[in-house]
Amino acid sequence: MTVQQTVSPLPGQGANSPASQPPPQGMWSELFSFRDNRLGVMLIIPSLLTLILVQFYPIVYNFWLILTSEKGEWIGLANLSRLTRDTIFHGALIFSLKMGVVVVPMCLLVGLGLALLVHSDYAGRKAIWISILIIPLMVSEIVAGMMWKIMYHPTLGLVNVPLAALGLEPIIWLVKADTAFIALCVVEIWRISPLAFLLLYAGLNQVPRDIYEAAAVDGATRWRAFWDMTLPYIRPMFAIATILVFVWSTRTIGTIAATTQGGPGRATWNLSWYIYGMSFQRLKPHYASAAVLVMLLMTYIAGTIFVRYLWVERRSR
Amino acid sequence: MAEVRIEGLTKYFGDTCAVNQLNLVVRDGDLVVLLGPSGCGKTTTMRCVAGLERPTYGDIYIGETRVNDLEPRERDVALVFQSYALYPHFTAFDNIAYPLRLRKTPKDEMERRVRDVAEMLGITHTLDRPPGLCSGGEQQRIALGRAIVREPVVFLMDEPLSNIDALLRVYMRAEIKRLQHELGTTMIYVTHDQVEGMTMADQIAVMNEGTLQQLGTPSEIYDLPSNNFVARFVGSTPMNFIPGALQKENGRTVHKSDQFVIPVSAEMADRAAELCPSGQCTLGVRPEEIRFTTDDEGDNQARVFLLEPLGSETILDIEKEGLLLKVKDVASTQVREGDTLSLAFNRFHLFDDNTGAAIR
Repeated sequence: MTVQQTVSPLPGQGANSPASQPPPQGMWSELFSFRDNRLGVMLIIPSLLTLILVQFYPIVYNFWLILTSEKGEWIGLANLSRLTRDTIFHGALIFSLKMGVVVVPMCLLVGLGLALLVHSDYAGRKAIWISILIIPLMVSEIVAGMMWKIMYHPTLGLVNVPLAALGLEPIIWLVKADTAFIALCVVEIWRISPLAFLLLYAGLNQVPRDIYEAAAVDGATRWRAFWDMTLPYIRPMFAIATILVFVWSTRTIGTIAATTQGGPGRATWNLSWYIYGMSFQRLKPHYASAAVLVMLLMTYIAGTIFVRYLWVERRSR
Repeated sequence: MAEVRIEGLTKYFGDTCAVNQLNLVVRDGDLVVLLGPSGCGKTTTMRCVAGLERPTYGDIYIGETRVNDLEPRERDVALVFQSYALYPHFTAFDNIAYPLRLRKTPKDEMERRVRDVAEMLGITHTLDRPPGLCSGGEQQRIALGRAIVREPVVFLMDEPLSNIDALLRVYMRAEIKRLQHELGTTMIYVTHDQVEGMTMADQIAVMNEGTLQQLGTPSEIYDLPSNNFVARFVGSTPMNFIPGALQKENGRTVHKSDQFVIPVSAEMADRAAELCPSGQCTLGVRPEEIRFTTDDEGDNQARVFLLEPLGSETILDIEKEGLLLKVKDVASTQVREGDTLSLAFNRFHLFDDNTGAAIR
């Protein structure tokens, strides 16, 4: 029997065939046995606890809030069913989504454009460009809002200067519902595009240069190479950027606080503003928690969709 | 299929001159190897032909067309990169098919041509895989397939074999040569490996520091090196160099060094008197051109320092007064370390010490 074991495997039934090697018994049990990985487990525990404390506890607590009334009585799903009839909430939800629909593609477009420009050979000192372009990221929402409020000022603001030059009436941006929406979207695009720019620029830097050269020799125009090489390569970064921009733009509150305060009327109430108002002005944190859940679900669903359709690697053929 | 003509090509990167006044004609259907050490400008030259670099001065013609101002895609050349530069997000099939797809080849024809090429290269089984899941040799052949499939007028190869293991390299270099002969397509092949150059080329262009040192067939390059750089660079066991000077002794000219006195033929002495009046020149002799006998009576005696058996032949390392010579012993003589040999020099070259040029 021992002779058989020392015979080298025939070609075709090489070392890869399952019969020629003993199955890796005990590999899994070894990997997960506490005895051998005690140090590893102990090293993980602190961050695991922190994670539970800051991530899971608030979510669970949020559910408890939803299921109870402001007086602490158990009311089941009453808070949620009330939300379905709350037209102010509906307005805020729609406003948030509307803003996402405008801001997300615009941020990605602006971000991608800037990333391509800075990544190109014409950009010169890239570090300088990057540090200039990410300034909006470093400005807090409130400050950004204040700044743009001045920009939108009917007589002092810069935004109306070109209109005046053309002899048009100045637009009082923040007092009409439709212009206020546009104005807020612009602030958000200004504020969040740099995030998309940073992520997509990092993505562009991962594309190996030689495949562009190969594509050029193979006969691709620059435009074609962009579609065939660049875009597939930065897809994962695109997905991440989409999710983050969506989250940033839908949860914004400081910008609204600093510019419209939700006005005119309730025209610029978004979910965050609604939740803030409900919790801290109307003092109904339990009811507001139901809106928090909706916001969480919205983000989760959107994130899943983006990952599903953008991140998943293309197996073209 | 076309001739490639490079006229006065000069390429600067900032202040660094990568290629200097290069003139080279690659005849239609020839396989020309650009050979030289790293940084000699051979890859830059090839990238200029491909259109990936713009020449600072000079012209490049493919066929009758001056291509200086053409984009790479307009030149109809195929390039195999040292890194292969495969598209990692495509399958092997799509990698090979990409040039055809860009030329809007009909789907069934594309499918057929890709499969033909894959079969020729023995990579049919990899077609459905992305390159990341293929072995180095397979990746190399996918890159080759991508170049072959579109039937370009010129093949450009940038050290395509330097990243695969030695055994496969020997096999692939014959394979590439066979392919080139079969397709009859002009090929410029860049390598720093002189064995690759010698075995594959119709013509070798030896380059150093941006300038062309010599252009010739492999045997010309080997037997008649134009200067000491070419002589040193070509040959798997390098040429031996013996510094010294030409002198008259008893009415005949000899090359006299600290170690040896080597008689020089009358013709060579005449040429040397003309070309190198100072007489200061280095004698170069290939390892297989040194004959030796074990008797200890000849003029040029030296001690065997080390034996390097290679199976079919043995390299004798011979030492005399600080000078090391390598001698090829193909007859498997029973020489042992420490033996004293008498040396005779069959065929040798003289290189002017001032210019490095061969005296011929």
